[in-house]
Amino acid sequence: MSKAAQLDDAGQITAKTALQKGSILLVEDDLALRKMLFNSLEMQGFDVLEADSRQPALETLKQHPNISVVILDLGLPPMEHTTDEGLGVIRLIVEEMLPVKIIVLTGQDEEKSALDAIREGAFDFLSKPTSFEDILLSVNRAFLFHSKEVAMSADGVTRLQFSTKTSDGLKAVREEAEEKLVRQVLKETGFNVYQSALRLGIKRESIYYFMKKFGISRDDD
Amino acid sequence: MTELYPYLIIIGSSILVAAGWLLYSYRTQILLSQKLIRLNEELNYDLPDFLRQCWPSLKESGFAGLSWSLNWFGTHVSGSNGKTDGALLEKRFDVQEITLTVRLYLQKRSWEYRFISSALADNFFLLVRMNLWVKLGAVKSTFEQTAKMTVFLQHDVKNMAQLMKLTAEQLDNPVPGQEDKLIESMREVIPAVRDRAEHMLNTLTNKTADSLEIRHQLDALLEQTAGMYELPSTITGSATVNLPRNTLQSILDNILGNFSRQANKSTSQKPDVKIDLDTSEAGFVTVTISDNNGEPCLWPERLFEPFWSEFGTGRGIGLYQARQQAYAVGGSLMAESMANSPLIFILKLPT
Repeated sequence: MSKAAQLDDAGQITAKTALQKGSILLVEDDLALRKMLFNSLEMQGFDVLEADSRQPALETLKQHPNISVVILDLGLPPMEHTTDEGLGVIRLIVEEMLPVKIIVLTGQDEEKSALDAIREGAFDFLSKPTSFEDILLSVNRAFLFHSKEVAMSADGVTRLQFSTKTSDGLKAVREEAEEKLVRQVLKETGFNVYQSALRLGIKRESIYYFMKKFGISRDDD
Repeated sequence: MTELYPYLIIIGSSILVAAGWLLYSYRTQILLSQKLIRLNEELNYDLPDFLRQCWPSLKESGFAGLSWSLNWFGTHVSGSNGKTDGALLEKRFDVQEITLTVRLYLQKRSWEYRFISSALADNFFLLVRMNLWVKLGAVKSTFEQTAKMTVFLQHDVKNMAQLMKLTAEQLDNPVPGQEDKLIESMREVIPAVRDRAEHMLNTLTNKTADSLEIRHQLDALLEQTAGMYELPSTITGSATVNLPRNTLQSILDNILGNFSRQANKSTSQKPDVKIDLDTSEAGFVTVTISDNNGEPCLWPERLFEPFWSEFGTGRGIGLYQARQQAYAVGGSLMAESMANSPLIFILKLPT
């Protein structure tokens, strides 16, 4: 019996429940591997979408807001032998505050890529070649975390994610947290300043002040 | 006054003889230096061989003896020739994994002979130092090339390993009721694996997979390739070429890929690629490609140098390969670089 099936028996999150919660976007430039992963995940009951490079991946993410998990190869064209493109995708997802969990599945230099990916905001890192069992475990974990965060968000709890150096001091950390929080709340309220101020418990003028301070505009959305 | 003439003649003659002797010695020294240089070239700048075979030339130059002690990447070798005692000139070289001590023993001669010998010894030591750096440079360059090739191979081989692992797992433990879908999936995947493996092999052997010439609408192919690299482009002119598909695509990929990497480097300006196709020369199309918003190239001499990449992790083979391929099909690839102007690629292809 596979581990995936054991997970089902154990009552943990399964592909079936995951399907109800969202889709997986598979970003991989190797056609053969992408097809194999796509079919393998689909046979497990997941709803899978695919992209072969940065731009199609971002477009798919914008067109399908039900995507909860992204499985991402870091080496994407036109620079498939470096991690630049893959890390660029993570950076853009984090900047856009898209509510997805990113699982990096890559063959690039393990330690450095893992560190870079996690620093940029990846949820998990798997080094090729890895077993399908590990991919499934990671996907299930990502769906679980995603669903918990969605539930927390419904309760008004916003989860912020940013990387900082402790040597930068508290001021830098506070400013980054302020910026992320204001951006996220504005995004969630559809740039409604009144609603945002209400949710953050501050005056509307303060929202305008933060927008000016951090250069936030409606176009950023 | 006239009684001084004999003395003046003697002094003048002495000066002339001395000058003649110095000129002769200087010329001899140059000839012997050239002999050492030629020997070094014949031995392909190999330091151990040079040390073993340089003695006859040094002996001819008037040195009494030579001894050397070399630690060559962990192996100790030494040698000596002639008399190894008395006055000597010694040099020690210690660079990375090579350590060398060389001693040149001088003849018991007058100061002017010693002066000339020491000048020749300086040339000899210079050759030894050069050989040492040539070797270390070659070792470094080989390691860099291997590292780049490893990075390239790593990406494809790991993908291949991942694919095999997934396939084996799926075949070992198919999802119940999904067996037909698995077989259908394999039918889809296996041809893609074959294509990938062929692509890898062709890249490694620097060959194009096809030799079959197909007629291509060049402007359409350029537009498609620029689109793939997300390069906003304006194409003027139109031409068709009769070339193998993979070769043509590889040339265009490498040129436009270079523009894409340069554009990604710049955070201020978006690329604005202009492509012009000129068919005024009979039998050829000249494609001029430039990025109006591109920056001037800082190292134009490096553009077509194999294994040199501005981007540390690149293989540094793309433009070199594109140029080789362009020449192989009877065309050419050049770059024009002027100070304060963006780089221009000029690709000439037979129609």
